[in-house]
Amino acid sequence: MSAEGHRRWEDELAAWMLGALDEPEAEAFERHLARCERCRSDLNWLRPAVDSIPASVTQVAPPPRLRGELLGTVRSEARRAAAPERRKRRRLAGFPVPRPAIAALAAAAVVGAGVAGYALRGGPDTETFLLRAAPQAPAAHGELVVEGDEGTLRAGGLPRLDRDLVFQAWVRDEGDAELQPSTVFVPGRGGSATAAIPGLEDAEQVMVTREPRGGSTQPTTTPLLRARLD
Amino acid sequence: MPLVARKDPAAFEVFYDRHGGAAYSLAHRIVGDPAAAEDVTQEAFLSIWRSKARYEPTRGSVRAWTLGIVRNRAIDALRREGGRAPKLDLDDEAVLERRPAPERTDAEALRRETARQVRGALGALPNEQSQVIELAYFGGFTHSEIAKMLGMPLGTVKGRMRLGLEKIRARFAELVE
Repeated sequence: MSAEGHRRWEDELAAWMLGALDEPEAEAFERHLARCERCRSDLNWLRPAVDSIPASVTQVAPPPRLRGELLGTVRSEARRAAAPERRKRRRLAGFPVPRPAIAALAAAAVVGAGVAGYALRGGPDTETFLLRAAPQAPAAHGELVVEGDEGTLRAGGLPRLDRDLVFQAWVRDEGDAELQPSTVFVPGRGGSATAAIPGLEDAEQVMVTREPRGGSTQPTTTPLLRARLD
Repeated sequence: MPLVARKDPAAFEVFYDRHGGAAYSLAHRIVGDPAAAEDVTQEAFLSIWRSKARYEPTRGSVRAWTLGIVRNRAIDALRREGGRAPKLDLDDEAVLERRPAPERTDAEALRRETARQVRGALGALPNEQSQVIELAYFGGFTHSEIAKMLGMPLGTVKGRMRLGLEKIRARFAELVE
């Protein structure tokens, strides 16, 4: 290819590196790049120039909750991936409970007000735990249905929220003092809500607090609802 | 990065602490809105964690690779929000006028120095070259969109992009020497 003929590709290279080619043009250039040593060499030479462009922007500190949410998700996914045995155990624990035992557990739930929540019943793959309300949310109630390592929280009678607040679930693992941030949700007009709660394979407790919009990395208010999963 | 690829949350934490600020800043610069920048940064880091994006050492530094992912996600977000074209136009002074970025107050002196030098390199370009580079990189516009916007031939836009990048690159070469 003549130097003049190749000039066209040099211009394409810069536009391609900046993501400024239309798709068909980009594909044509990539086919050329695959067989043109000179363009690959130019690409390697120019790459630091393109890579340096982000360093020119004004640095803005990310909100701390972004870190908290990301790390919460990552830890939860890592735990899930690392704990197949535990999941299996929890599934086994969810085998059907005989009816008399359900009645006994339900009765215990009514009289045993000192403990936060109780397994009431199970299906082939699920366990259901009562959510217990704190005194500041007397009408709140609900249950947490756990299947494998994921739960569905269904709550009603939740107090009204200001526009800048949300409810946030928290998960405490066995033997862990730290609460992991979980799902953020807002109830409907009737004060009821349903939220998916992942990462329950090692969970001992699930709680719900009121938090600023967007959620928090640590609870900033006392829990309104709690369920014990053991 | 190998530890992040092996799904080590502690390694991911270090990775985020090292690159999260630059990633969020870039996303913020492109989408122009804190909430959207947060979403973009989160999407980009989770895609890295979930290995939908794999780091190739031949492609440059981990930071450059990470910011490339953030940039693409941010441009996608702009396009999702505004239809085909990103929400930038000739009145966007952030693109068309050079504004000096304030120095950070943290202790990353080396990074700050690099950023200062890069700003210098970009700032030293003739406006006609920096303009097309910024419209493409930060605005996500194609060369044909830029040509239409600025009322100039396609070849001129691409030529200015190339000249601009070559000048920045030459400036780096001088700094290293």
